[in-house]
Amino acid sequence: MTRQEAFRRRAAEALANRRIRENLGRFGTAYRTARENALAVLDYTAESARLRRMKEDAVERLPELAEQFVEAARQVGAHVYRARTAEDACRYIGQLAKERGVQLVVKSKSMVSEEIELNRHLEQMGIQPLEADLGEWIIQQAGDHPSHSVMPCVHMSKEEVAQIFSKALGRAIPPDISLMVRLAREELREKFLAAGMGISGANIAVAETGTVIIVTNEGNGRLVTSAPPIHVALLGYDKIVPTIESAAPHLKLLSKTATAQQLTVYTTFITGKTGTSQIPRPREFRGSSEAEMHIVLLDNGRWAMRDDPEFREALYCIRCASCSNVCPTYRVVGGHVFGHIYTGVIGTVITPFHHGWEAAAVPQEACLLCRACIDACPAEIDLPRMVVAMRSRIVEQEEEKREARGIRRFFLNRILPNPNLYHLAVRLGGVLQLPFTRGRTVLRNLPGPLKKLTMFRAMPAVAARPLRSRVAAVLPARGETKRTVTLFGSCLIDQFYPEIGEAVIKVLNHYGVTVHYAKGQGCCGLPAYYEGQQKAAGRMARDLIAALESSPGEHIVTATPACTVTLKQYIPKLVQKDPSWEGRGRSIAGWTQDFSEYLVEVVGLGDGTLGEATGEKVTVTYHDSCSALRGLRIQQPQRRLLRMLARYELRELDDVGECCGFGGHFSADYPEVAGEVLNRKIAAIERTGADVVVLDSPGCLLQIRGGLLKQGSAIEVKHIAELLAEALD
Amino acid sequence: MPVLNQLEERIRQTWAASRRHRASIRTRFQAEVERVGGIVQVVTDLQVVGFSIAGVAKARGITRCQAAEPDLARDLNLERALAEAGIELVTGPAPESIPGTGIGITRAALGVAETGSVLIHLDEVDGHLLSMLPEIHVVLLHQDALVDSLEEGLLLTRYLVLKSQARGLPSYLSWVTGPSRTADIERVLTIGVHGPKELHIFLLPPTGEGS
Repeated sequence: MTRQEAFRRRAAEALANRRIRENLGRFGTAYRTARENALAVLDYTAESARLRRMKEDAVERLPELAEQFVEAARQVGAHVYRARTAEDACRYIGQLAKERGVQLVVKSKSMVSEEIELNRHLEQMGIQPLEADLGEWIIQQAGDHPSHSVMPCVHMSKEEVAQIFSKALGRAIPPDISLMVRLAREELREKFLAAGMGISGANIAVAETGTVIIVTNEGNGRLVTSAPPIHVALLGYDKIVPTIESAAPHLKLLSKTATAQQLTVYTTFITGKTGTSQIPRPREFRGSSEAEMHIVLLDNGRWAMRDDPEFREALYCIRCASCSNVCPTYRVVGGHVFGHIYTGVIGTVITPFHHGWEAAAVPQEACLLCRACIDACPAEIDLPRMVVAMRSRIVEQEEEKREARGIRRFFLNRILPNPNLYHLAVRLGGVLQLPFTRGRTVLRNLPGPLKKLTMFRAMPAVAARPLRSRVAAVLPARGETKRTVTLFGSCLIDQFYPEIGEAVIKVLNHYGVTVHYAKGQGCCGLPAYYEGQQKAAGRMARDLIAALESSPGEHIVTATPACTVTLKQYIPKLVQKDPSWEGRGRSIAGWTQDFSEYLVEVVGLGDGTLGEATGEKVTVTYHDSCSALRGLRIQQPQRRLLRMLARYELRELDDVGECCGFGGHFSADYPEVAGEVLNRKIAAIERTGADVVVLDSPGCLLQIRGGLLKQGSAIEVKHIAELLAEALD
Repeated sequence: MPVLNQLEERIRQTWAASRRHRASIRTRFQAEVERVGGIVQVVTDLQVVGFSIAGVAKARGITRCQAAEPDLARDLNLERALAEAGIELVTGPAPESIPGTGIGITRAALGVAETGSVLIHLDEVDGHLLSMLPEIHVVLLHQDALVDSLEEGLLLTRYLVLKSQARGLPSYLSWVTGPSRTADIERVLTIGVHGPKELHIFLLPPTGEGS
């Protein structure tokens, strides 16, 4: 089974559960507003930068800070055990419990204990671990594992939780949330004093004082760390910071981004064990009554992560789960599909270091590369960059093991990089499609292995004549030539939407721009790059640089933002290690501009009126492509152009910035997931009441137009170039 | 300890700033505590506190209150007020009575206006548990122990921890921001899971200098 097949199978189970999707979907929507409100009190950019600097410094100085932490903790009588592996940590804690005669262990929430599967280890030794965090307790009773690092049972409904309560308590419990919370309080209250050991995680560890900082809302963290005589704090090296004061941006941003609170209810600073409770213990108490604190400082791949320049920044994570909360696919499939033990994007990125590359290979398929997580991460971690790096290592490993075969790899490595072969292949597709198009330009249902493509959307037919055959090498400006550009057509416009290309040319010519169409241009390599096929992407980068740099345009313009991102950001990176190409890559990046931005920034368009208003205005809405919005940071130029158009009135989407689910190969490989993401977008479009969706990306156009057509909607979808061209008639 | 000396200098400046802005810091603190579901009462006459606590206890049907320190009970006229209401008062450590106590009364070392937090610094485990196990937690805080920002609060926390640590002593400090809460089931906010369901903060008159 290929990686893609394995992921599709995994996702199918989650997709079959409508409830997960509804719960996560509602949460994702509510989260955006709550988070914005909580963050409104501070300068988010400045605070994030502060957190980032603090974590960069802490990880850089980790060897020294770790020594300082260990020393300081020992000064106040804490025992520190430096565990290299998960097994080491489990063994230490298990032996300690055994030696002290402990039979019951109460735990507050600790993702590290999930990472090392501590509960299983303790149970095998005949020691009962009991989760005290309500969500974790529910998960434990259900024999499940957390699907979200902040809200472990976010995937469950109250009815499901009531069933778990009924089973655990041995009587029928109605799905009444406040009742269940009260019952959990009563049920667990006795256990804090009956337990011989409390195990906690830590949010922060302070080098200067050997302090462990724990934040909880319920209060279980305080009870677990104070009521039992022995406290074991289990934490990774990544938690160490220099001083209590340096934790300020961490504490501020964690609570606001994780749960939209100004501060978590209990922020506890534990430095050693201050004594033992004299409250009479229940009869079932077993263990030693001497006060002890043990700190288990875990490596389990963290030092390797620190030494890996591509993945070091994953150690800056503060586990707020923002990246999951804003992730379009997480919100469809949940953390059991998107994640191994650690969930969501960051969870998947760190999985190779804790649980091996094989454990990460299938879950990482869930990433659409929409970049929503970049803007949500308070530590400014570039997760999409790490996903691509992870993919390229997975591909390398598969090639070593000769696992990578099949049409897909052949296409990305042999066909796509060769403009002639690739063109030929698409043209062949154009011939083969004839029985299905029956003269129309859309394909509603494709047969056999291609069925996936039209599962939730109609596909555009291959154009009868591609853009390259329709246009001359030089397309002169109307009147005097004020500027010149080289047009990079992009595969989608060239082969499927040549009319968009013609609209682009028409607009540019109208405003005094002479357009050169460089005929040797092939694919920009993005499909290979995103799939981790770096060698193929590198070959395409060089070929494209050669084709474009010989064209005389002052700028390179594209109307496909994903390709603009490739030209400006990925191509320079792909050739940077090659001295003869490095400078050329940077030049290409510097010359390239996206269509809308070029019109506004270079041509100076954006004010005044275009076209005539005849009758009532047509309502349009604008869909930002992920590539333009977060890849290029272009949001205003398109709106300025739209506002010039006299015929149209803009009404914004209420989910501005959310991905449409296209994601290139993603929507072809995982139509069920992409279709769900698209359904949300279509619902938002419908809420605006617009007659036309305007956008700047042929990829989003393929997705949204295809979905609307499939659903029988009359809403039109147009590239912004088409609207501008119409207005010039 | 040069670090401690530096911190002391910065702390002096913090208290000076807090004194200058006492009224606005107090207003901000009250608003933030209320936002997280706590209740703040500004007290001018200490004797009133006892009667207020007795009132809360009576309304909730609570039969026993416990104060961490005996002098607290005296200062606040707790004994008389609770006796009049027929409510038992336990003072001092008395660990055996904590699990059956309805209201735990403790002092706070510090209040932070930005977040509406109080710093409970009770190294003695049972004093600390008295602020956690009862359904209601009553906190006594002097107005001049309020600082404005989270950063200032962390400065003081760092100082307190470091001072114990320098002498080889463990410490246990908690910032408490509102009553215990959870949203683990369907994200519905529910108050009072493992910790107190109610948090009452009495802002006492200034003692002169910050503690």
